Amino acid sequence: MNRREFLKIPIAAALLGLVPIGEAKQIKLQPAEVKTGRSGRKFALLWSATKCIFCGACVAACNAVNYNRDKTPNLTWGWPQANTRLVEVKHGEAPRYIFTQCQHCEEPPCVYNCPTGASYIDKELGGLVLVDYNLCVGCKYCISSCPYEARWVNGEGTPSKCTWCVQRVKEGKLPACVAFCPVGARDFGDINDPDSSIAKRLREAKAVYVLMPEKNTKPRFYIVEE
Amino acid sequence: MSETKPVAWPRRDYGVLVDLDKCNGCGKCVEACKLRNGTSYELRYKTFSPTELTGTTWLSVRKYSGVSTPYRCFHCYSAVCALVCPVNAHIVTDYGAVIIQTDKCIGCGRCAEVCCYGTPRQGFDRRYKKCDLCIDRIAKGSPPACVEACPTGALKFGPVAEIYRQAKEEEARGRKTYGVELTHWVYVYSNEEAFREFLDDVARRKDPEKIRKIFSFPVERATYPPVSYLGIEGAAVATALIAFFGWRQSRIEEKKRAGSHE
Repeated sequence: MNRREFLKIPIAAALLGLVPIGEAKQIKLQPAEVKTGRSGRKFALLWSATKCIFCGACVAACNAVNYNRDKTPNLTWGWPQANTRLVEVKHGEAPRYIFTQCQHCEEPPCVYNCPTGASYIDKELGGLVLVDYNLCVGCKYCISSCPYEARWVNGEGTPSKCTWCVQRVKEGKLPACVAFCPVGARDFGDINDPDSSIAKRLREAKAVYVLMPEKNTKPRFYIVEE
Repeated sequence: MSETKPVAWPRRDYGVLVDLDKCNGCGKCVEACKLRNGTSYELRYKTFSPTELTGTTWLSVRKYSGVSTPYRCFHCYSAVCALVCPVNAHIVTDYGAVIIQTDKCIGCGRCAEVCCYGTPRQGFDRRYKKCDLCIDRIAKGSPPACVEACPTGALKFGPVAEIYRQAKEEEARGRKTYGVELTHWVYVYSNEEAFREFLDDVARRKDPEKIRKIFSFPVERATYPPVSYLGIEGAAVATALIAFFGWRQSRIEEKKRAGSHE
């Protein structure tokens, strides 16, 4: 090795170092089939990519309803204290942005990986994935097991997740992100009931997508194009 | 957490019911609004247009397919502007009104960028201004200036629960509503097409990349400024090169000295 070749090594290393290290994980939108008309309640959430105007009202509404307008940041996501966020996904040629949140999977990895049984599926409430904070010990296994990175925690403490505003759903209201959307881009309801508005919108949509069906988690957050 | 944490909504909320079928577009509300805000001198200007919101005009009356539509801040419950304001100039008050404290505003424009209805407007002093629901008048027990000035009774003022009840009654009679349990400025209308035109015009689609940057700001404020990786790596490489060449130079000189000794 002569001197010129030896000098190339640090320069090449420097150039390699300029490439961003933590490149954003690219999620792909996958077309989905919606199975409806079964017995029992099955809640689902719908987000319309064509109706959304990206104003962020869902984020602010979640922050106001669940976190009492707390303006300190959520350090896990680099986002306000809210359970819904904007992520970049790969769909077709161009990447684009979608609002996403906890998918309330039918096969939730966070529930299967919880050592204390704090994360559970509420069968009476249409299968919402909830957390019993009396049992949670803050081990954060759920955060690392979730493929959607839907849970977040600020430093030491118990993880927080989207509950589809269970306190409002119990009262018969819609979740905050659905109720406070100014253009009706979101919808929430029982997809086993064919007369519900969400089932109608899913039936009439041009295209329905879910995130990461290859993980076999059976997500219930549908992205539609109307 | 959300299961255990009770949240107190503002309890003394007031709202305004806008009946679009009664509005005749006379513009008395715009005049009253400007009189209350001390900007009525603008009414004499040739450039003044009652259909445009500006830093001094906080209420405008627009026409869509022949339907006059009063348009101002909706005072929505979500209040995205209050969440993204970096200096807490934008606040949600007890009356349900979302107001800008003009003395605190730094004119960064985040509120105008995220607002669902595009109402905050920049004034000549670079600060953002919008309707404040006349909270000083509400505190005294009188309705906002626009409601008081309305000659046709298209605008109605009252506690927000009462407003929502009236709107639901109208809905039961077959008319459409917008803003029930969503805003403090509720529309009741029967011409659906005209209202959709209005909503498409005011609630415009935004650039998601910009919105993501705006929502990421709390972290930037909480942590130290980001370190430039290029700077650190460049400095490391430069130091290594300088050290290498210095060492090489010293070796050459050493060898020369050794050669001269021999």
